[in-house]
Amino acid sequence: MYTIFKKEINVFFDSLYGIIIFSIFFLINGLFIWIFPSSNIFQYGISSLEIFFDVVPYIFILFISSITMKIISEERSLGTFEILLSQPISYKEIILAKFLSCWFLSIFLIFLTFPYWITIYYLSNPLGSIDNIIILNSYIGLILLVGAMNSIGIFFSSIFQNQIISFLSSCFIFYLLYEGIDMINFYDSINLIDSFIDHFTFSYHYSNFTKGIFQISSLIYFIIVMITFFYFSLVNLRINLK
Amino acid sequence: MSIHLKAKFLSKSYKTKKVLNNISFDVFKGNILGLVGKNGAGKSTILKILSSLIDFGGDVFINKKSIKNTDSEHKKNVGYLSENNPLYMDFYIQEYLTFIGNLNGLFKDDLEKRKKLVIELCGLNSFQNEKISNLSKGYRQRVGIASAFIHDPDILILDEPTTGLDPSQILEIRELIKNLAKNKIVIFSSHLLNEINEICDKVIFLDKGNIILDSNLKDLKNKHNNISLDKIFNKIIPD
Repeated sequence: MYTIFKKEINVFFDSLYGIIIFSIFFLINGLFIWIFPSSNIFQYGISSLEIFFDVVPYIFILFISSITMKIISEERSLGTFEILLSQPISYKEIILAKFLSCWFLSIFLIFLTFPYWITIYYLSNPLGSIDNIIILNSYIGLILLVGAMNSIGIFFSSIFQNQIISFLSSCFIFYLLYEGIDMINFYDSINLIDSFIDHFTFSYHYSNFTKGIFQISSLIYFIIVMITFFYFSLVNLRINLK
Repeated sequence: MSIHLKAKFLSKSYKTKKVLNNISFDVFKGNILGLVGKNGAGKSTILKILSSLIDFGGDVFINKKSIKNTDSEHKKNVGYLSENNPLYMDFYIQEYLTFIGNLNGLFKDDLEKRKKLVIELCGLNSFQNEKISNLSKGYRQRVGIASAFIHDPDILILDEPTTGLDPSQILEIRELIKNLAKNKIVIFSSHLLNEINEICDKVIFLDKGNIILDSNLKDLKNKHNNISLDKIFNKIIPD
């Protein structure tokens, strides 16, 4: 399993594609956090990374859709998935290795934003007057959120051999789960089910973390999403390829 | 150790279409078995079944041990070259062989020894540091074959290994297959009957998922007064 994990990481960093995706991530992030007047941290007036944690899930919608769209669908369309299937490894190991590699890349990217934390720390007045617990919890929430997104993205990659369809489907579902369902709140007529639906959204559980609350139920929610879509991918591939 | 592969009542359907109809055959170590048939006869399906790539009815036994539910264990003992020979084009040959070797549990010295051997046997010496995408079709085919037996499997399954190669490459690949077969079971499919004639000990003619003929090649030729295999095939499976 480690061999496939390592291969995926190497392929990503060896390709122009990987460099472009990483660059775009930091460019968009940088623009929102440090440059754009409506959202930059300097205008915000409070030494906090709230803006970053509000914006970054939207950037991850694009980033994760981009890295997961090819992870299985490209291999299936090129026929190279058969190379993996003919080796002494199970479907479960293949999908797990691919999931972990995508999650690792996302976490690596999150890790590279730690200088934001340090910058805010030194920019704060008096020095160090930032809520580290909120930031730490937000990072944990973000890591779990991207884990769930990766699992769903891999599922769509396992369904479609066309990468564009896989990308668009992932983007749509991520947006729907993150914000789209929340939009239903605008319709008064179904207010009764609002609070129930809320519990199924990414934003509800992620916002618990960004408020500085480590909710076990939110942790369990993200883990359940990861496991559920992992098994959906497994079942889908076994049915279609075996 | 001797190896005996026995396929019993193999069947396979894709949705409502039956592609294999309860076929049985067996093959021993040191034998090269050639599967011959028209398009859609079921050759590739048999090879995929023997490589544990697809589910199937019936069973396959290696030394009386069923391969069902032992996918990973069985795959360690099988080298498979697919008809289209898919490869990771961005990999270098050495890198690709390391990847396949690692997946088969080969590391460090063992891996280096096997890599050196397969590169030598497949005539890839002068290209070993090349990217696969830079190789000609013939050399890509060699990389596919090299990766199929890097872990020294007892059973080598090759789906039309010489398709698209030029005549000299075909001869070289045939020689390679003959050499490899000395201590393995080699099963391969081909459209080229002269190829079967050249290298196989045993031949199976397939038509619409059924075995029409399963015979030792020498016996078959003797029975038909040494006429060419093409003529025998056309006689047995007319258009």
